[in-house]
Amino acid sequence: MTSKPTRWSSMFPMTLASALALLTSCKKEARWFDAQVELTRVDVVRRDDKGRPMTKDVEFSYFTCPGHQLEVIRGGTEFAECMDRYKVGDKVPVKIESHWLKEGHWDWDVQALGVCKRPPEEGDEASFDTVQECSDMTVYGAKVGFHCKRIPEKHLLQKCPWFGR
Amino acid sequence: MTESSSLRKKRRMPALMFFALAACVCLLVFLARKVGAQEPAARGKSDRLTLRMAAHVLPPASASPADGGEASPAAYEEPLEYAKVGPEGGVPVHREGPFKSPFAHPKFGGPAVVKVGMLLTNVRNYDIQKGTFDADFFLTFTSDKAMPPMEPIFTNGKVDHKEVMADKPTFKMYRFLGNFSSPLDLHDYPFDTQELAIEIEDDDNGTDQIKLVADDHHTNLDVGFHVPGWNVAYTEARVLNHYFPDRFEHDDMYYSRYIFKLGIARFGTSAVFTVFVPAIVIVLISLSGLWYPRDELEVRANATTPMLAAAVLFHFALMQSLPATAYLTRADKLMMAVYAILALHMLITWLWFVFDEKHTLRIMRVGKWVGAPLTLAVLLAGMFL
Repeated sequence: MTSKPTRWSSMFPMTLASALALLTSCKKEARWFDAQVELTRVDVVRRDDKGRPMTKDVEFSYFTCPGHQLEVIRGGTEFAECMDRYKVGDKVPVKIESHWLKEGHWDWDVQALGVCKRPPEEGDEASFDTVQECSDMTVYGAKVGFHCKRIPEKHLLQKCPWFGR
Repeated sequence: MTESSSLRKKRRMPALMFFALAACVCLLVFLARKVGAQEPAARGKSDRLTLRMAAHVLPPASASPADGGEASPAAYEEPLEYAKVGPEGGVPVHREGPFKSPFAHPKFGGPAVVKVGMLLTNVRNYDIQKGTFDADFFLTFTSDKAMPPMEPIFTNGKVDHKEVMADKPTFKMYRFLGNFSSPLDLHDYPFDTQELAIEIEDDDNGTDQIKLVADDHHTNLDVGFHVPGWNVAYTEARVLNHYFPDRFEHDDMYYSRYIFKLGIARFGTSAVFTVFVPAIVIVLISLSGLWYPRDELEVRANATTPMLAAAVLFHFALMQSLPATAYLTRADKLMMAVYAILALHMLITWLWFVFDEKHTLRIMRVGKWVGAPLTLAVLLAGMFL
């Protein structure tokens, strides 16, 4: 009894290679989101010789999102001047760009806060975010501590999808 | 005459130099002791130094810790000093408070509620083999009334560097760098989440003097905090009242222990590509052998047998990076499934030699249409069970 290898056997490596190539060549487009935040801190970090603000830190919370989501962004001269119109406690809209990083995950940048444009710069290591949902830990009914989840869960991502990494 | 006097001068020079040197050394020692006495830890920023020096130098405002005053080491009465020894000798005890332990402090006037804050700035050198890691963090104690003298100790590690940044009666701040260890849980490896714990207990103050409380508003990770190769999954802080099994008679004191935990999860993509993809490739290559007819027996055998060697070597390499466990990890279960699949494929080939040659075609057909779904089922079982 003689027969030749079927198509299947030769198709396996090709199928596998194609699948891997497809997987690695996927290009992910940037996504844009609008949200509302509450300003919790505004600090001038650096001033020029005339005392005008050159860099400003703005801390805000995503009060419409579940949990405790805090972000601090730093902006340059134009942003610093523009932000003078807002004060701590103001609720302002933000424009968020979510993009795919070459490190293999999503990340987001706040591109505008209210009417103030804030293009993020390379090398800005001062801006950061804390995305977490905390709950009390209880043992036999007594509070003994707390637990804060740092990986966003489904209900958070449904409401605020840019937190997905 | 001139020559002889210059010779004498030359002879006198070493003696003069010796005295000058001795004087310099004495001066240096004196200055060093003076400086050391004024600045026990003269490092860091000037404001920190000022704060620290103030904590050392300022006199206590009140002698009694119970009324919210200072509890400086000088004013603080050591509970062991006023514990009384019974007529039969032995361990001195306190008779007036709820605890008899000689370390109890009934005169302290109730425990100080101490909020514990933690800022973890860095975690380095996480060793999954030993469960050890280096941590760099700030620790704060903030209380509603004066704390007794505090000496935090780490029950699951050792500190290489300690800096007291503030030491006021109701506020203390430290910076620590140390090496800690935590137990590993590898059940879900390579999708495992590990807990890096830092456990803190005060050296000898029981719950009658301090009651630690985890401060959720002041427990954070530093800006840009990350653990290479891992994703931060959660932070957790809790306090437990620790009771030592009796070390001596009337050892009835509870101690407040603060436990901070950082949960880190392995990156899923990395886990898939380093463990699951190689295993699946091994299975697919072996599976392709089922489509080769009996004429191509050598090719068919080569699709399975070398894969067994590859699977064993791959499994060995995986296990080398982990400590021995008393249970199967998820990767172990996957590899068990791979071994079972390879054995199944070999068995289907061996059937040709068990049955008569006239069944060759039927065995091949059955091998393909039963072997492939069975392979998939076993692989899925290995991946998800």
